[in-house]
Amino acid sequence: MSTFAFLLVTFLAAVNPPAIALAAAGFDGETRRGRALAAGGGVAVALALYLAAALGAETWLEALDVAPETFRLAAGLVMVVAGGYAVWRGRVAAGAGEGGWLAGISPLGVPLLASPAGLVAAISHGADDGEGKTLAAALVVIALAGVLAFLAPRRGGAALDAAARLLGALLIVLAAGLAVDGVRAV
Amino acid sequence: MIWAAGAVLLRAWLLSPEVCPQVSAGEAVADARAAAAWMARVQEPDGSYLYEFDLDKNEQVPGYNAVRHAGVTMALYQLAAAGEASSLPAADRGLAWMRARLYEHDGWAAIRDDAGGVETGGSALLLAGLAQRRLATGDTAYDDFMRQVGRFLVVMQQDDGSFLLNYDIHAGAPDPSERSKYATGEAFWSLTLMHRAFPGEGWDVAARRTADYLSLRRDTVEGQNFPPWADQWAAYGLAEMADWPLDDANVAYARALAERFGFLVRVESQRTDGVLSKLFHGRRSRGAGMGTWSEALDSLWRLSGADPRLADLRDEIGERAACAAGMLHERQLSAEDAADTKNPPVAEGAWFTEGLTRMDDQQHSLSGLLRSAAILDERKRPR
Repeated sequence: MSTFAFLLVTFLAAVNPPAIALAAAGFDGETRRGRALAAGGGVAVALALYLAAALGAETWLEALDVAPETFRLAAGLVMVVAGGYAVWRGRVAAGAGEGGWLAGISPLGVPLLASPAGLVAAISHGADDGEGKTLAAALVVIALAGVLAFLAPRRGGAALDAAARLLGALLIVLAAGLAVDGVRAV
Repeated sequence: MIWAAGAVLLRAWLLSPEVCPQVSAGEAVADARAAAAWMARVQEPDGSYLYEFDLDKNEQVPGYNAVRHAGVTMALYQLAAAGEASSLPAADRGLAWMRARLYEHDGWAAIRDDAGGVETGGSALLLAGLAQRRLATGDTAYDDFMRQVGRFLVVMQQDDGSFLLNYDIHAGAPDPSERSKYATGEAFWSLTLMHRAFPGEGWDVAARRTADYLSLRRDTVEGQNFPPWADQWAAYGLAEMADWPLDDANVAYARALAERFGFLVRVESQRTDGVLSKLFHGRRSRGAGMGTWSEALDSLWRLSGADPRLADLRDEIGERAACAAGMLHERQLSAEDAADTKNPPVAEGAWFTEGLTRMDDQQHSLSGLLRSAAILDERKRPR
């Protein structure tokens, strides 16, 4: 698997678009315009945060005074927690919002699209695998999640729930690999 | 709120700042000299050294260990081999202490400990020290003695390449009941040094057998729960074998060792003397521990420069080695620090943990700092 494909899979699991779609479907009083505002706002907020995380990966690590290898271990732990929650609940850790642009900022922007797991993955992989590739992979997944949040399907919840849990399990596997890599790196 | 609490916890635990104090090559060598001066200062007329000291109580801790004695003497010879001839007199006194305790049998020689036993590790480090002495002085007076000690090591080697811990004098044979995770690496390095000193005499055959045991079987046979066992002696030996050359299994083992020692240095660099740090990271490691990591990384750095299969690790290994040297530099008691203690002559140039120092704290730290000078020198050059 190429680095970019691996990063795509990682962000797919870390952002978990099906879980975001389930959360967006729970927003109250949604109109098509309101959903568009929320999805657009969420993607914009997440885009800014992933830009800062991936392009500033080395700056973040320098500010924290930790080596990329050490950060992998911490990132793995955060991703394990997020993956475990997704497996357990079938969605990401955020409550229902009111809809509209405010919901775009939170919870859709933060912490759904720009999730702790996604952001630590962006920093860790930005430092290890290149900022450009990492950002590109994150953006593809955010766009996909934004579209799903906009569509917020009222039907097919069971399939989304299953997909969200599977991605949660995948995230745990990827996180374990990242953490082990952090321990085993020089 | 939960995420914020998690972030704070993560910062206190896994993401604590990694602090690697700066140290120059010159400072590292000066620190090594100060450690050697400590060894000479605390040496008794019979060649033994102060074993362990409690600075808070200002008293010696009873006990002695022939293996550690041999290790300290070997470190002094390492310093001499690096061009510091001033360490030779103390090292030679330490050698005399060991030669006064020899057990000779069937053409081989080994050190006896205070209880009269014959243990592999002490003799292995005696041999390593003699090899360093030969490099330092060019003196061949001990060549036959080196061969005698080398033959003892071969007697103690098992078919699988491992080494038994004790020789049973009464039975007239190695005691098959106990292997030693330390002695195997120590003997391995000594045998590689024997091959360097006496190529063509076949010492490399025994060394290769042990290299394969360490690389392929040791962690399983000896039940290491978290392999690989952090064995700096093995790293010394592998570095010595760089141009033999190593086989792929040896290279994979060297890589695993680099990963282990690199991780240990990263964790240590997050430790401070604060209460919170002790709670999240445990107490700081003693000089002996950090010194062994430094020795290992120094050896693996040399190996990564000689073997292209490890070249990709060279910068990272160098970075961790420099970090370990920086921590050792910062934690050694200077003359000024020592002046404020109850016993300045024993404190100066030593590494204390919770008020205690043992002679191997100085041994491993000396060796690590001395050998890190080349890394520090290279890293300061513009690339």
